[in-house]
Amino acid sequence: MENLRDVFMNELIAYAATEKRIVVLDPDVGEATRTWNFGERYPDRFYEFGIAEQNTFGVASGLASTGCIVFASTFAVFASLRAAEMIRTSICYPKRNVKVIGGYAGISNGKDGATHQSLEDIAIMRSFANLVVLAVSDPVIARKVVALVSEYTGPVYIRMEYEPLPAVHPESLKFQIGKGYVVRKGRDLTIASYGTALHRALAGAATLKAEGIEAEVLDFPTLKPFDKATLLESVARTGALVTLEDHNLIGGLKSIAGECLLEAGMATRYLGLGIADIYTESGKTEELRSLYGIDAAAVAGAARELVKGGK
Amino acid sequence: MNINANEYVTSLQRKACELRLEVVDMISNSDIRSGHFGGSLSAAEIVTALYWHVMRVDPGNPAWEGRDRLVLSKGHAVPVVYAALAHKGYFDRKILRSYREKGSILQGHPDCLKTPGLDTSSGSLGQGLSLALGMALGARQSGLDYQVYALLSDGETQEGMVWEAAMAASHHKVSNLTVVVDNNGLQVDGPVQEIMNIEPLEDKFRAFGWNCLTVDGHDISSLLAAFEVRKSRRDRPFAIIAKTVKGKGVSFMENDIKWHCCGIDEELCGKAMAQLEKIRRSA
Repeated sequence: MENLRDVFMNELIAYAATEKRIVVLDPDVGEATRTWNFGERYPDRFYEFGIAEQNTFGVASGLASTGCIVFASTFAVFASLRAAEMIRTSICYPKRNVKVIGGYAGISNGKDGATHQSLEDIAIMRSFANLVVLAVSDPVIARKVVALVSEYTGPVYIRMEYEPLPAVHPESLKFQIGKGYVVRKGRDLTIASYGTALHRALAGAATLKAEGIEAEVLDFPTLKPFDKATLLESVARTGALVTLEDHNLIGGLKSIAGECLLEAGMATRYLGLGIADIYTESGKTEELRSLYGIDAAAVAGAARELVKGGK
Repeated sequence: MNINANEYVTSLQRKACELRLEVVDMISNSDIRSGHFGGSLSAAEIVTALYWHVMRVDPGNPAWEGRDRLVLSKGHAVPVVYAALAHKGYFDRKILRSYREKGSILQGHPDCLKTPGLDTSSGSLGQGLSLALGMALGARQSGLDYQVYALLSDGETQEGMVWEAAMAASHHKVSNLTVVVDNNGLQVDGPVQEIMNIEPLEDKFRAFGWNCLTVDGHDISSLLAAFEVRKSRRDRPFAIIAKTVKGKGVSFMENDIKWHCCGIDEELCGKAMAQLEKIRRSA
C-alpha cells in the first residue's frame, strides 16, 4: 500500500514530463507533501517560499496568470485558513489556474493535534465561487486526479489525507469533476463519504452485511459542484442516509447532503458522523477516529439505529 | 536636458493632469458619485510614467504574452488606472463615468475579468507584490523578457505579506520586478507614521535585498530618471519610493484623509475640475 501523497506526487512528476506548464510551489512542507521529489526532478519548475503561505498562494496567482498550471501544496489547515483570502480574492475571483493541495486534511495528522488538523477546509473552500473542491479517497483517485485537474482550466482545491490505503475504485474508473460514485450497492441505507472515510464506510458496510443489513456506499471525490443526482437517486431507493467525514459536522458533507435533500423535498432518516464542533486532540489517527465516532464501528452503529428506527 | 526632452516631460506632466481631471470627472459623474479620490490623485504621475514611458504594452492586444505588467496593489486607486487605460485606448473614455455602477466593467476595485488592460484583480491590500512576483517568475518559466511593476500604497506595507514577498523576490534573484510605493503619507484613519510607522522604508527594502531609491513622485523627470537607474541596475528587485501628496492637485483634497474615499457635490466637483484644468493649462 502506497501513501496517497506518494501516489499523487509520483503521478504529478510523470505527468509533468509532457505537460511542461506545470509548476510546483512549496512553503516549507516539501518533505511532508513530497513536493521535494518534484523539485529534485524539475528544479526549474519548483519554487520554495519558506514558511509564508500567504505569499505562496499570491505568487501562485501571478504565475498562473502567465500561463503556468500551478500546484501549490501545504497542510489543508494552512491553505484553508492562513491563505484563505489569497485563495478567494487572488485565485478564485480572477479564475486563476491554480491547484491548491491541502495535505494532512481531517485528522490524518493525528499526532500534531488541533493546530495541524483540518476540520473546516471543506466548509470554507466550498463557499468560494469559481472553486472546484475535490477530496482524494484512494490511490486510484490520487493518481487520476493529476490529469483531471491539469486538463481543467481554473482553480481547484484538492483535499488529501496522507495515509497508506488500498485501492477501492477500479483502474477503469472514469473520474470526472462533479460526479459521485456508487462503490458498493445496497438496499437498506446509503452511506456517503469523501476522502479516506470511504474505507471506514466500506468496513462499516461489511460489518452490517454480517447482520443482514445491505448498505450502499457512495464516494464523493467532488464536493463542489456536488453530484446531487447520485445522492438523491440512492437515498430515494434506500430511504436512509449516513454521512461520514473527517471534518466538522458544520459545513461539510452533512450540510451538503442536508441541502440537497431539503431542496428535493425529500424527508429522509439521516445521521451525520463527523467532528462535533470541537477542537480535536493529539493521538494516533485511528484512535482519534474511534474517540470522535467516525470509525467503522460508528458507521455500523449509526446505520443500525437508522434502519431499525425505520422498520 | 535638451528642448525636445523638456517638451516630452511637459507632455507627460500634462497627461498626468488629464488623468486627474478624468479621476474627478468619473467619480463625480457616475451614478454612485463617490470613490477614492486621494490615492488616485497622488498616483497620477507614477501611472503616467509607467503607461506613457516605461511599460511595453499593446492596447490592441491586452493579452499579449510579452507585455510588461502592472499590479495595482493599491487597488482602490483604480480610477487613475481606468483613466490611463481609456486614454491608452483599451476602452472608450465614455465608459469612465460608469465607475462603480451596477453592470459596469469598471468595478470599485480592479477586476481583470471585466476590464481590458488590467493584469490582475486586486484591492485587498498587501497581496499585490506576491502576485507581481509570480508574474515575474512567469517570465522565467516562459523565457520572455517582460518587466513587472507593482504599485503599492505606503500604508499597505504594514501588511506582513508584503515582506514575505519582498524576501522571496530577492531570495529567488528576481530582477524583472519593480515596486513603486505611492508614499503619500496618509491612510484611512490618519497619518501613516501615527497609525503604524513604516519608516525607514528605504532601509527596509535594502535589508530585504532590494535596490531602492526615493524620488519626488509628482516630478515626471525625477520619476523617469529613477526608471533609468532601474534599467541600469538589473541585478536584483528594485523599489522606487515616490514621495507624493494625497489628493494632489485639488487644494481642498490635499493631505486631508476625508478625501480618501467619499462623495462629492456639484459645487466642489466644479471647483476641483477648475483647479485641475488651470494646472493642466499651465503645464
